[in-house]
Order: sequence, then C-alpha cells, then structure tokens
Amino acid sequence: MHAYWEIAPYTWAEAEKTFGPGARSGRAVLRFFAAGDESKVAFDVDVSLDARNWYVRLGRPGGGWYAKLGLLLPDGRFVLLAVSNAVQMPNGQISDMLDEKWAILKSEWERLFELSGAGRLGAGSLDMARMLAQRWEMFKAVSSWSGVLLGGGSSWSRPLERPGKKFWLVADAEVIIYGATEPDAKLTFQGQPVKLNPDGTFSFRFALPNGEQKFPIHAVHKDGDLSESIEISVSRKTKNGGKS
Amino acid sequence: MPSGYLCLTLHAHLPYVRHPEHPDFLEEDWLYEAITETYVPILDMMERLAGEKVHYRLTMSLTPPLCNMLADELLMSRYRQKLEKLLELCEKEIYRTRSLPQLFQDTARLYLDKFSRAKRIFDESGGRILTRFKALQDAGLLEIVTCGATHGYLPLMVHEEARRAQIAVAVDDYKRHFGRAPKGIWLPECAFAPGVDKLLKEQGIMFTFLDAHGLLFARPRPRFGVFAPLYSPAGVAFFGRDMETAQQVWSAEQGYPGDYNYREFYRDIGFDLDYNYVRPYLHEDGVRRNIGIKYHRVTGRVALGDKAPYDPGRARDTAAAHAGNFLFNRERQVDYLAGLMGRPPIISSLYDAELYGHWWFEGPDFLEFLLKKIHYDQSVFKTITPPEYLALVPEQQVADPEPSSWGDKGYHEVWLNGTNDWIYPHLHIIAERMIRLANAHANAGGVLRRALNQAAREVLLAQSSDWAFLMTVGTARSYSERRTREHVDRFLALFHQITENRVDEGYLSQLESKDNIFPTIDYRVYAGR
Repeated sequence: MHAYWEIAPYTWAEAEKTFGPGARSGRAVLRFFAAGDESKVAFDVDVSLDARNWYVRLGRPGGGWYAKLGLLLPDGRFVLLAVSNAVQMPNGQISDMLDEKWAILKSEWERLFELSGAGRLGAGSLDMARMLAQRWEMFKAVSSWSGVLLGGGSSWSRPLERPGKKFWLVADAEVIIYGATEPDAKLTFQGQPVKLNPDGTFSFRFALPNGEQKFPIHAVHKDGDLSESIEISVSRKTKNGGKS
Repeated sequence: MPSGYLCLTLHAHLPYVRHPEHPDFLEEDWLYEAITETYVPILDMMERLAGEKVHYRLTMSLTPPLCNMLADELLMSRYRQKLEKLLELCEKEIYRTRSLPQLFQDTARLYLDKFSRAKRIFDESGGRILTRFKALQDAGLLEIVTCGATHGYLPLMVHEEARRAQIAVAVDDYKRHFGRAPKGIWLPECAFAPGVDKLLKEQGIMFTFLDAHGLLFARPRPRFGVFAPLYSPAGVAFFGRDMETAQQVWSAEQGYPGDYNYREFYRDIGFDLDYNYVRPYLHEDGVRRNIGIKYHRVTGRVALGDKAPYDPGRARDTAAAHAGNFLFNRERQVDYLAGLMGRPPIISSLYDAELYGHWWFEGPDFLEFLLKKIHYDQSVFKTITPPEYLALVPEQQVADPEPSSWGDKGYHEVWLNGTNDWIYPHLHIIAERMIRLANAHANAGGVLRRALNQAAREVLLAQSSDWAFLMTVGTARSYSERRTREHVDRFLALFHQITENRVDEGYLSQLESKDNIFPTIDYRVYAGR
C-alpha cells in the first residue's frame, strides 16, 4: 500500500489549537483501520512526516483498508492530520469460498486450475514484450530475442500456496532509503549517480540480506561548491526455526 | 459443432504523441513504424482471408489515442512522407545489394514489396486506415473493443468521476470512428479494481479481459478456471488470459519469435551501413538509430556481428511450422478441456498487437497461416469473439474478480513505485479540480466551454499509464516526465484562468491545436452523478 500526504499550515494551526503547543512533538504514525469498521485500530506504522509518502506492507492479503495520518502523544492522544480514501487489497490466492451452484470435484478443479496456468501466473511475459515494444536504447546491446526474454523472470510463487493444505510462514524484510535535496543538485548513492525526482526527492527500495549494508549518500550543489553527506548502515539477522 | 473456441485478441495501443511544434519528432516514429510493420500487415492479412472466404474471428482493441492519431491529418501526412522516404531507400537497397549474395537481394525485394503494399493500402483508404478496420467489423469478422480514453490506469485513480471519464470519453470516441457503441473494452494494462465493473456497465460495456489470476483468485472460486468468463455482480463479463498460449508465443525456452530462422531485430542498416548513405534517413540530429531494414536472422546465441543472412523463404516456412504446432496444441487443449468441463471452453489468447510485425517480423504471417489452418485443417475448435461466445453460452458463474493487472508480479507495482510515485499527488489534484470545475459550470458556452473541454483533455493526457510505465522501465523517461509535467501545468494554467474568469483565448487556441485529442469531448463527463 502506498500513502502520500501534504500537511497544510492551517492543519498544524488547528492541531495546536486543540492539543496545545506540544502537538508537533508526537510520534508520526499511519493508523490503519479495516474499511467500514472504525471501532478498532488494526495497526500503526511509524512514518517520517518529511518523507511525504510511505509504502506499507500488509501482513495478510485481502480486505478493505483506510488510514489516518497523525501524531501519537505520550499521553496516548492521537492528533489527526489527514484521513485517506479506502482501498480494497487483492486476495493474492485462491478463494476458499465455494459456489454451490457451480460445484465441481476437488480433483477436477485442481486439474483445471493447473491448466489455467497455475505456476506460470505473473510470468510477466506480456509485460516484457510491452517493454520491448516501447524499446530502445537499453536493448541495443542485446543480441537476440532469446537473450532478452531470459530477463523476464518474476518472483511469483508464494500466492499459489493453497489455503488449508499445510501450515506455513514466510517473512522477509526490505529496506527503503529515501530523502530529498535541492532539485538541481547532483546526488550519488553508493557512489553511483542518481536521477532525482523533479521535486528533489529520491527513494530506493532493496532486498535486505543478512549482514551489514552501508548506504552512503552524497549530494553536491549544482555549482559544485557545497556538499552534504549522509551514510546509513543497516544490519539484519534472521533466525529460522523454533517450531512448536 | 466444435468442442471449443479460441478468442484471439490483439491489444493495439500507443500513447498520444503529436508535436506540431517540431517538424521531425523522434517519439512520433513509434506510430509510423507500428503502422507499416504491424497495423497495415494485420489489416492486409484480415482482408485477404476475408477475400478467400476463410472463416475467422479476431478481437482487437484499437485504443482511443491510437484511433485519434490514425485519424489525425498532420500525423498521417507526416506518415506518408516517412513511407515515401523509406521506399526511396528500398530502391537504393535493391541497387546496393545487386552484387551481394542472393539472399540479400531477396530480402531487399521483400522490404520493397511490403512497404509498397503498405503505401497502396494507406493511399487506397485515403490515409484513413481506420475505415478499413471498421469495414471488417461491419462484416462480422473483427470485434473492435475500446480502452481507457488515454489508457489511464484506473485502479490508481481515487475519484470515481475520473475513472468514469476515462471510460465514457472512450465510448463516445469509439462511436465517432466506428459508427456504433463498443461492446467490449480492454482495461488499460488489464488493471481492475472493485467498482470499475459498475462503471463499465453504466457505459454499456458488456465484457473485458483480465490476466489469469484476475479470474483464478476471484470470489467465489471460479468453477472453470480461465476457460469460461465470469460475470461480476454488476453484470460485466470477464474473460481470463490463457497462460499456455501466452507462453507458447513468448516464453524464452519454447517461444516462437526467438527461432533462429526469424529476423533479428537488433541488426539494422541504421547502424550497419556507411553513415553518409543512411544519413538522409535518420532524424535531424543525425544519431544512428533503427531504420527498419534488417538483413540478418536470429541465428543463435551469437554476437550481433556474427548473425547469418536472413532467408525470407526459410522464415516463412518456419512461421507455417509454428502455426501448425500452435494448431496441434490447441486441438489437444480444447479436446481435453471440453471433456473435463462438459461444456465448450474458450481460450483467450491476449497479445500486444505491436509484437506482431514490429518485433516478431513474421508474426502477421504466423497469424495468417494459423487462421487458415484452423479453417481448413480441423474441426475441433473455431475462433470466436467474446460477444458471440456469450450469446452461445449465456449462463456463466457470478463472482468478484481479483483486483489485478497484467504487469510484472500481477498487481499495480509497475505503475506505482519509487520511480513514478511522485506523479500521483499531481494526477489526483488535477482530477479533483476538474470535477470541481465541471460541477461549478453546469452549462458553459463560448470560450469558457472551450477552456473547460481543453482542461478535461489535459487531465486525460496526463493520466496515460504509458508515462508511469516508461519511468519504471527507464526508457524515454525524460520524455515521459516532461509529458506528465506539461499536461499538469497546462491544466493548472487553465484552471486558474477559469476560476479567475480571465481565460486567455490565444493560449487556449494554442493548446487546442497542440493537444487536439477528442475533438468532440464534453467536460461535463466529470460532473458528479
């Protein structure tokens, strides 16, 4: 899920009027609710307001959601800054809801499901093709169709796990690095030049393997006379096992 | 009666690229190349089969931006000039290859024939090839479906009015070109979100297509997998993409287009020949690029320099063999499915049209061989269009399709990620303001009306999913960013002029001539209901 926001000065003024001058010092969170059920908070995600947008990975498929952006004060009060629209998330798996009118033997259905392309879903071949159709420069070096198409793999596998078949757990982590500088500055990330978004922001999303990773970020003023650096290090440890 | 049906569907789309302010604009080539290499060859094939009384059915989306470009006088006159230059180069090539091995001469003649034929068809239709597609539809051979007005990515629009405008403007535009309302739609990027079906129904759309998981993950579980359509609760039929036929054409291992006998796309005389010889056929900037004349075949996994000469006869034989293989596999597939299902299956094979001809040079030949073989060589299955199938097998299961797209990983990530997410706050704000304008002006006239209509065009043009897509894949990125910014800026300028009651007619006229898509648009499509 992707959320973005822009907080207008009058929203801050309102917040301070209601909650006092300490309102701004709260912890920024995106507070998620199941659509149609405002009574209980589903979960909070800590965010940085300055990032102005955030990607949130849901722990489970499906469902309708909306979020409130706000600041959580030490005394537990919530300073509301913005409310999102509601979105319906995909199921990402075979539905366990059966239709009596269209009943079928389980084995036959499984066969039809296989024939329908289970295991090949999201292979991205058409997208790959589309990419080709848009062409050009990046593919010049590539020598043939076959070579090009090999690049078209995809990471689709988990959603095909059949519900109720066996117990399973998948967990992984990614890291998102984001920031902003003057739109016309030159930015390098891990030593590589990076193109900024037109408003000067940038963000990267990576797989996060075990171990320590360093992300040096260096920005140089367009005149070349001023510069700023930030280095972010992230370390990950994963323990598997612990069955009960 | 056949045991099952094949629904061959080609999605023909290009973003609206038209730059009257430049005499020679690189990105306009996307259209010119696609006409010569894909649209005309497919049209030519369909007309030839019709003449030979071969029974066939094809479904094609011709998207509104594409239709508007194909009906645009400026672009079509530029296309004609391009084609003439290409023919001039072909004549030179016949001369140049006279002393080379025979295969080069054969290939040079093949290009001359193909391009002359394209020119003849183009000229015969008075530069309006859409009329020929319409004739095929009127004859019942081709089902033309529409698409989002500018191929806007519907699930990432937060205003219902904005989604509705994409559909309603497309439906109106379709009537202008094809003289009747569209029965079906190709959802841009096959992207579906709950609620879209209700809007389709409201605009009179009967059916659309989704990627396989759009059906397989539907609720409740689909009884027939992707081999029967589902009706959404709103009453729109959803056909699911068949993965076996998708893979047969595009997989790296078994895919047809990678065959060693087929033409190699990346070896082009724009790079190969003496610079001064090709210079007049390149763009003004003189940078070497593909021209569209290529003399080599895929050959194998070898470097571009080691490619063997193209052999037109051998390539054609290979296309025929592949058509035979495709036919054989479909017969087995249909037979088996019909037994398992106890009713005639429909196999929906969805492809980008531009792959046939532009990328897979022999693609149109393959289709022609295939349709003939289906007609002459077997009786297990027939080709069919979605409306025909729905009439034949009216009772279908009802379920909620899965929110999905045909992009990488199957959902919305290609169009919403770190490279392009900055566009959505802008797109949402201009849509919201457009809705406000439409609600504030129930019945504007004169210059105000023109300004409101132009504002609606700018919103639509900014919404093309192509811009977000190109940002993700990193090709033509600066052009895509520029287009997004330009349309947003133009909308905002108009918005301020309208709300401050000071419309600048000179500026407006300029925009009307630049961004001239949808001449008959009515801004009130954005009004709330």
